[in-house]
Amino acid sequence: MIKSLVMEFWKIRRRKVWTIVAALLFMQILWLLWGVNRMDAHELSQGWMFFLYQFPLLNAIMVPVIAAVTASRLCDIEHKGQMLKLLPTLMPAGRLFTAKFLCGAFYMLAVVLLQIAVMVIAGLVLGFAGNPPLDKLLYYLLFTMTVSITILLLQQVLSLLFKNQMIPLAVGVIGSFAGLFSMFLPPGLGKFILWGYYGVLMFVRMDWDRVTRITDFYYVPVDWSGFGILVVAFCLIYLIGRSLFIKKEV
Amino acid sequence: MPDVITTTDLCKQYGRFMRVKDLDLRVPEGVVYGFLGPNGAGKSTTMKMLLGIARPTAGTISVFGQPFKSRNRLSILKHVGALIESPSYYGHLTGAENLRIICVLKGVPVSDINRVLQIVRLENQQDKKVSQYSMGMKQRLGLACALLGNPRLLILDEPTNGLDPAGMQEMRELICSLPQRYGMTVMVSSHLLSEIDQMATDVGIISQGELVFQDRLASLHEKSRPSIAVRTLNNLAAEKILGGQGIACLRQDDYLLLPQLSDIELADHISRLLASNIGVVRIEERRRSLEEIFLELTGTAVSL
Amino acid sequence: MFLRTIRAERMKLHHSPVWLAFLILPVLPAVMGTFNYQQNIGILQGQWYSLWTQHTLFSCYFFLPAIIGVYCSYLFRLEHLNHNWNAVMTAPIPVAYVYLAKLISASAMVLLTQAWIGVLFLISGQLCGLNLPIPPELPEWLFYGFVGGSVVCALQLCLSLVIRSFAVPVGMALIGGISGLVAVAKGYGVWFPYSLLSLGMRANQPGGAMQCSTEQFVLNALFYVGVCIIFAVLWLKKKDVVAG
Repeated sequence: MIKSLVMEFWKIRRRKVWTIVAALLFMQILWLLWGVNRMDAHELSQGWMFFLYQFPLLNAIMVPVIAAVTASRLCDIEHKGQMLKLLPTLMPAGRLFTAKFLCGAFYMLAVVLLQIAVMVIAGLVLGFAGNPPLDKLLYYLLFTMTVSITILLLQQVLSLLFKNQMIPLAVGVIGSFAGLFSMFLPPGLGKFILWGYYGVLMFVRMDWDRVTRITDFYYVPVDWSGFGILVVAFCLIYLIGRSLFIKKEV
Repeated sequence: MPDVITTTDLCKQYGRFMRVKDLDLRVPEGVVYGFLGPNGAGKSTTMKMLLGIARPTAGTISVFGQPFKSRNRLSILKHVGALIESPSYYGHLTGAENLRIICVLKGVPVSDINRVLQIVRLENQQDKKVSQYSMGMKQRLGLACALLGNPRLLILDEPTNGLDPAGMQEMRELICSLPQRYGMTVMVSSHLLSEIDQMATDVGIISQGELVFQDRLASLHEKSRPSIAVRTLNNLAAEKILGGQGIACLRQDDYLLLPQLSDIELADHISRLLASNIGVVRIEERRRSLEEIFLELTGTAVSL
Repeated sequence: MFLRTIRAERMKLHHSPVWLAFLILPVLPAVMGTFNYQQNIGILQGQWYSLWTQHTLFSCYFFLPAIIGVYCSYLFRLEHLNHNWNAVMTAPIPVAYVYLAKLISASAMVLLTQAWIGVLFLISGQLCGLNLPIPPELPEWLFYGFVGGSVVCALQLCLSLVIRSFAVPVGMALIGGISGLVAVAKGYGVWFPYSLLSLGMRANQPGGAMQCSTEQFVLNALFYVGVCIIFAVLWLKKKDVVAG
């Protein structure tokens, strides 16, 4: 498996997959930091919560596209070179599927870790009150990673099964749109849409007082049942997607 | 010697269409087996089934004497090299890098890359990106990938596709030499008769999904039943004279076709004709060409 | 001759359920935006105008550019595959027509989408029981949105012409959309191509004039489309055809 995973990374050398991923991530960070310059004392005291509220919102817009683009780039090299005829004679199709997924997951992990790094560094530089809340950041890492790799997995299944990359990308864009909207709907509904889980697993809520025009953030308990559903969804997509790919005739 | 590939009643159905019907292949060891058939006959489909990338609708396959099942498929394929339809490659990587990936996946030492590059004569282009290769170079790279690790069995689907005459010659000589030099069994498919004629020792002819002939190439040639064609200035009289000697003649245009005779017998008959004042103007040996045999067997026109 | 090229383009898209994406996409904001409107009816008191913002805000900045990117990538994917560039570039049509026909094709899709957005808007409004008359500016919004959308089409087609990957231009469309948001917020909206879509559709502030002058809007739109066409034609003319 390690051999196959190393091969996956080797295959995408010179494809510069990281370029578009970095560009999208950079854009997201710029967007976030853009509103951060002038923060008063009250806002600074809630700085960490502000980040932990904003990042999932922006993630819902951007990370599905990052996942779709990454999965598409990893899989279209196989379609372009007609390697799906040759590769199943060299290695088990299931192993190819898993290795590709792990390769893409690595990119997702890099994105989330960079986000956390930016959060911590920016927070410290701007002078947010208190130390970076490690436990909350770990929750953020866990939840964001889980949602992101589930989306990546779905995108990979689509990119491998369909030679025309239009289908996975259209699904990715529409799905992320649906997910974003679901964040503004009553919490229950978000659970039905995979892309909405950024919102479901968010543990910071915002309260905007119209009169005083002060925004107040507060922590809410983590929705572990939502997390459970997500994990089940991940397992289902993995099992079904993998067996569909193995059964696929060239 | 046991057969390298054996199939029994192999069938493949796509939708309502039976692509391959009741195929009983026998590929002996250490031969070059020519798999011949018109375009669309089912050659590529059969080869895909032999490699396990298409699943048979019915029938069994056994390779190297073992039944070919999904369990042992990859351990069998470790000893098989394949080139199916068009060559497979990563365009953004160089030729050497593509070979390296196959090496790692097959568990073959990287030193083998230079050996196969030398065999296919691609050493000078190994550091160029494959997307910049000409079609012939891509074909040779595909063959190089199949040769990695010195497999016991090579399955090649139209390997001379896109090669220029010199390249085709090289490829043919290479394929012919493989059984002796490396002890490989080679299964080559083609729709070019002349090619199979030059390369193969055993032949299987497939037409519309069914195997219509499977034997040594020599037996195919024996089917050609040569005859002697004679043209005279008075064919009717000549026919009567020869008929009197017990020779059955067939008339074809303005020629008389005689069955195969020894030289002495033929000289004898000709002198008899001359003695009867019938001018003999043409004596030719006619062999039914391989094309005609093929046409008869497949009932379809031969493709160029 | 140009009409023939356009007909050929349409035939190339036969059997492609491409339009499905454009059909489904506006339904999402229509449904969810209406729902959100109902939930917040206390705050959103602009009736039709507030409903419009709900429908268009996210589409214009993020998801319409992205789906246009997907569509334009698809249009050029048809040529990038199967050595089709060899056939396209040796056909007896002027090089400019190749690009222009695709631009017309993409813009037509945007136009249809705009019409669909309008229809969904009207239906949603009725369902909400809005009693005020329909905003008379609606056709204007849809039209200027179409103009802005065509600019995005032109840009994305140029990107997909040059970049052979399917996914990368889509990522770039999203980046463009977000940059458009920033540009509008900073007041430079009219100068940035990706913002023209949202400006035209008055996503931020329906009811009232555009946040820039109409003439500037139209001029800039024409400018960007013109630049894209010139770029594409020069690119096609100068670059050697690499079909593989």
